[in-house]
Amino acid sequence: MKKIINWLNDYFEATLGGMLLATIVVLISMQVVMRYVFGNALSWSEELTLWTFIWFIWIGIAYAFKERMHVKVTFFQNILPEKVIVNLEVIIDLVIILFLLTITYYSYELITKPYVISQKSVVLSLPIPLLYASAPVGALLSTFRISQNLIKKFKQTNSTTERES
Amino acid sequence: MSGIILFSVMFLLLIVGMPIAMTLGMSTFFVMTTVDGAPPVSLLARSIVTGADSFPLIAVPLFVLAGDLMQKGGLSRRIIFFASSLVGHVRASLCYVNVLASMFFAAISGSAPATVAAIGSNIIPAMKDMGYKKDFSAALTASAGMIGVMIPPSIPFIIYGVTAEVSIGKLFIAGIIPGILFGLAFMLVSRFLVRKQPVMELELKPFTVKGVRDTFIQSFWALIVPFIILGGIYGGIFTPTEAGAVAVVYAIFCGVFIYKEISIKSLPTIFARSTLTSATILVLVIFASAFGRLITYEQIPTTIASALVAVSDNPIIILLLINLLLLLIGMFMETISAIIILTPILLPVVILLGVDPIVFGVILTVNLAIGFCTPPLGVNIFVASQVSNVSIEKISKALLPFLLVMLFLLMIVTFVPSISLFLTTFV
Repeated sequence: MKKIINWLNDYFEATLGGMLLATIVVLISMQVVMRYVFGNALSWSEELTLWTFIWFIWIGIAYAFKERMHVKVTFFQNILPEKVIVNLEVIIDLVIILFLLTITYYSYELITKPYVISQKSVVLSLPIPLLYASAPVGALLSTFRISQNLIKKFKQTNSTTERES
Repeated sequence: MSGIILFSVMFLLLIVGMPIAMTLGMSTFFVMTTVDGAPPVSLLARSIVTGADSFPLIAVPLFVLAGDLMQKGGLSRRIIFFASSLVGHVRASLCYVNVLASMFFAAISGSAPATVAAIGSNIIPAMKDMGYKKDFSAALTASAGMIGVMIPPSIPFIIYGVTAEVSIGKLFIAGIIPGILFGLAFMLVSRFLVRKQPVMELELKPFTVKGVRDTFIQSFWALIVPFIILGGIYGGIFTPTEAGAVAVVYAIFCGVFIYKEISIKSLPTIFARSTLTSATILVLVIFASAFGRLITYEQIPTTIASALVAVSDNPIIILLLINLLLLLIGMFMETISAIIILTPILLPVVILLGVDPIVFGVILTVNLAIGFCTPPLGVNIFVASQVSNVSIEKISKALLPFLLVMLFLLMIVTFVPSISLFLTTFV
């Protein structure tokens, strides 16, 4: 059990994201092959590809938070003394968490609106909430990853200050 | 008024180091909740999903993945061998090899830093062995890398095409001649710069038809990639997005079965890496879509247009001002975010001046690509510094002559639109 949790902790987004990307490649290649080899364009594959793509992005966003890879302007930050940077980064992380939770709330509100929750997609008649759920799920997963990184950072600074004293 | 609030919040968040995507989302959220008459927050909640509901956009992760696969699969190395067999017999040949190989690699990859990494890691050590100055080699590689986003496929072009709603196929083809022009110019400049460095004769290899033929056969599978991608798009066989998927399948096939440099086991790692790279690009698109709508809603482009026209009514001067603005922004900001933020603001302005949206895509991309090669935020310099172990300061200094050439060519691209449009008339 602990092994599974550790594995998920390390590779969940990487694996799921990679699988969604592979699905996109397969779906689009299939579309090309069907059109040219069998002369029969698939009507459903474009919609399914787009849904996979949007889920892929939101899982990828969480993955990028986990790896701290999101693009930012560091030029002005670099002029500041190191101690200020450390504190600033903590504040930034907390603001991001607050923002992502707000987004989750508004997404939830949107999904539960009567005209959204009963809506079906045009081609495959999949439930639209399944598409809209990508954002709150990705945002919550991101929140979890940012908090994890914050806790890691606190533990590190605590242990270094202990050693110093 | 809400425009001022929007941009001050955005600027403040950017300088403290808030991730750019979050900055876009937060400043949009801030305006939506505080300004009377602004669109409701539900628009933001909706657009962070529907903002990516675009089939052309799927080309981004596909070309990122194809590029990663081709580098891992040994295609870039073979391209260098082929380029070297073509021009290895003349003075300063490694400079030409560097630029030529970057141009070839640009035709299978859509990213500038990826081009620098792929070509630089192979050729900078070789140039050092032949006695070239390391800072010069690194600067040349960083410059040549910018061609990566000009010769198709190109991720900035895809993002611009999606944001500006213009044909990605046409943008791709518009970038070809400017890309080749930049390449030729870099070759000329480097030839001029190394005229007094003494050790260059060492590298001379006689030109043989056999050498060209052998390396051509070895690199054949890499060299036909551009023909598959571009031929497929312009032959009407598939869309740019489908071309991306075809390129991925092709790269896996080559890497695993022909060159045998990728094992099936290592595929998940490559897919995961591409997921990460793509997500950092696509998150910007997602959060920028509400931002873009807000900007249009508040008529900010109109305000900026009238401010620009108030400065001068001469289109040449206004275009120069826009170029200056873009260069400055390119120095401090990452390309994709800059394209996403600036396109809805500037495109209506330049259309008023009579600039073709396709040409503006090229102008915008070239400007921001020059930013790849300028401190303080030049990704090409960072990558070149990593692969060459030369300090960023030294590379930046050695880049100066190349930057002058880039600026000169930028002016040509800006004021001679037929350079970009010429090839598009054939499709």
